Amino acid sequence: MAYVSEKKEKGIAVLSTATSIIVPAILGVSLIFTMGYSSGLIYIIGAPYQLMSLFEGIIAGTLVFSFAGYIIGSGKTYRLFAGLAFGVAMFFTVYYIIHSVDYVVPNGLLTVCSFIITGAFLPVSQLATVIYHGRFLRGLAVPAGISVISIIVIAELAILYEDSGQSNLAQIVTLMNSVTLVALILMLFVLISRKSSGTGRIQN
Amino acid sequence: MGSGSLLKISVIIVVLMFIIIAFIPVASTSGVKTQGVQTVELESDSGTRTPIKHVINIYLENHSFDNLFGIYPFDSYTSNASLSANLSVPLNLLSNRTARDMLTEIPSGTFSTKDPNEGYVSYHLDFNHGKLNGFLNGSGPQGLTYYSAAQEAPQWDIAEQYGLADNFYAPCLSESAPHHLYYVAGYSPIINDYGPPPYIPYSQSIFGELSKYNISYGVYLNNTAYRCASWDFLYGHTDYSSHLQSWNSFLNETSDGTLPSVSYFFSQGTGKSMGPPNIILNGEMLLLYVIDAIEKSPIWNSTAIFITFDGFGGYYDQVVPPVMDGVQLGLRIPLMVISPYAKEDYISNTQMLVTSILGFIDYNWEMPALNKMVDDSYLPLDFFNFSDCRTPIEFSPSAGFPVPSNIHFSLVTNTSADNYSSLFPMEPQIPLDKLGYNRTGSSSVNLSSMGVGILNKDEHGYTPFFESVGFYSMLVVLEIAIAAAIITRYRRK
Repeated sequence: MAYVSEKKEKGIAVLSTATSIIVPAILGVSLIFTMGYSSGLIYIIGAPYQLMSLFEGIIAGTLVFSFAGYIIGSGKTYRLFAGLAFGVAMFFTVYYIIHSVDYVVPNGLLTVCSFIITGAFLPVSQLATVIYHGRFLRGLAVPAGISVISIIVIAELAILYEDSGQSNLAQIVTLMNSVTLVALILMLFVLISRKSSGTGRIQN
Repeated sequence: MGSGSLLKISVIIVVLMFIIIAFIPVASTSGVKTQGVQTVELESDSGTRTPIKHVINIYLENHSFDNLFGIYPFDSYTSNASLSANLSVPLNLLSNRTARDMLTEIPSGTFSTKDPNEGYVSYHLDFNHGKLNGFLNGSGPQGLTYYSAAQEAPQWDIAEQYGLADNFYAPCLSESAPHHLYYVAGYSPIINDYGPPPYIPYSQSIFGELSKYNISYGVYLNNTAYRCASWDFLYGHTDYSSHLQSWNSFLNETSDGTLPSVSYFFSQGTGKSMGPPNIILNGEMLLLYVIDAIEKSPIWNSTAIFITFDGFGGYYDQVVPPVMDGVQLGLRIPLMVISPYAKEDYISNTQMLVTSILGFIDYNWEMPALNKMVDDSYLPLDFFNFSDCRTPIEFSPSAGFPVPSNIHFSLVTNTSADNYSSLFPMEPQIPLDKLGYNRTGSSSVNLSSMGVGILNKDEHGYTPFFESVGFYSMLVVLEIAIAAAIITRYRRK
């Protein structure tokens, strides 16, 4: 019986880790694409020579903000609100930059913009710290995992977007937001059903 | 704020969002019906103001005026220098030694360059607030080049025998998609190749106007499945899909005389559009084939062909483009006008852009101006001498012109031995000293001066609700609300 229980606990721990990485990652990617769409950033990208500059900012930003969010954590409610406000502020910063230069964004500034727009990963990573309850070193795997998965998904979607002749961004944004919503609703549903069945919080 | 109240707020937001999402699309969808798929009213079946009963628009890709006609009509290889010296000279590099010295002539046997860095940003860097000195940072050194008669002889011959505009501008400083929209709608809600959304409602395009006035038209692509911004970015185009036809249909309708009044022939997506890095010889071959088919057809005597490009493609041009109706125009691009009524060896100095072609269509079929920019654009009327109907000029394979045997010819890949300089200049159809008109000139007529009215006074791109920023913002708020609810639940445990 003890063996079965240990196995079950391990399974729950793996599930917890996967959930705390994958759900925030897709949420982060959804936010990035929505913010790119809404800020007008998408209007200025598309040429192959911009790819390096764009991804330099995205890779650096995703890593920096994911780890920053994890370190800041979610211990206090105001930190969560501050993280959210930071993400929103980053969006408006990019919006302001792009419009103040009339969309003429050279590669250097493109790197800056793509870095800033990944500020959304700070509150997303904070969300992950709430979900995940592992030890500190193992916990670092969470922002690392969020970053790696997000960068891969962003790259895949960017390729899809380019291959379609820069025409299907709206569909991509819709798809990402739909997947995110389903994932979040499922999580919420599982939490509510656990409460009603008397199951306690996931422990590692 | 406590975690309990956070949860309540989240639940309230979620419920409100669902209510809003459930109701707002209904209103939006009903808006689509009225704006995008407008009921076509057949108002009149009018005649034409000129002998032109067929306007054929041929759209090529990505070259500036100085890139293709920079040293026209000078030919260092020519055996007929005296004729060349007597031809009309446009505003080009021949009168600007400084600019010419800055550029590189593409050597004989070479018919392409590396593709200049394309895009809104690159082209604005080239433009550099009107200084035109940013090409090395923007489009790159490959943009600082020009062709000669060795490659351009067929197009130079067309210009010599018919008409060429040297004051014709791209409608914006960007790449293909917005140019396509200006080409068929006279405005663009997008600034780059991204899109749609926003779309342009079909009723706001020239096709919508032609439908409204019961004037026949056709859009011709090599492959109708190819995504062409001039068609696919028009909202509601699926209701008019019978107008989208293939190149084969174009040739058949031309040869049997059933071609619609207005035709749009697109070369894009075929390797025959002249757009770099494609070999421009393939585009010239396509052009010669199509012109030959039209010239041999029963519609020749009532046809005007407008040939132009979907942007300057990052190639240098010396003229700082003007601002028109608040729009910063792009660099000059070539416009060639072929018609039995086209003046010979004519250079038009009229300031124009693609909206001038739309204006000509509106003028010819006595319709109101499609929109304000079309209304304000000068008409290309100076190209024509309607008192004379000329016989077609033959660009014959036997004379050495690279006319393919089929429109679907295999692309030429090796051009190292090709030099077409000997084809230029051609003997003029009418001796130059016998022409009863000036060989340069301009037109100051526009639809505004004629008071014909404006069809579309409201020019805004259309974004369906489910593709709008507002919709996505709602989804994001919803996601944040659910995430907040999740956080609250975890904390309570």
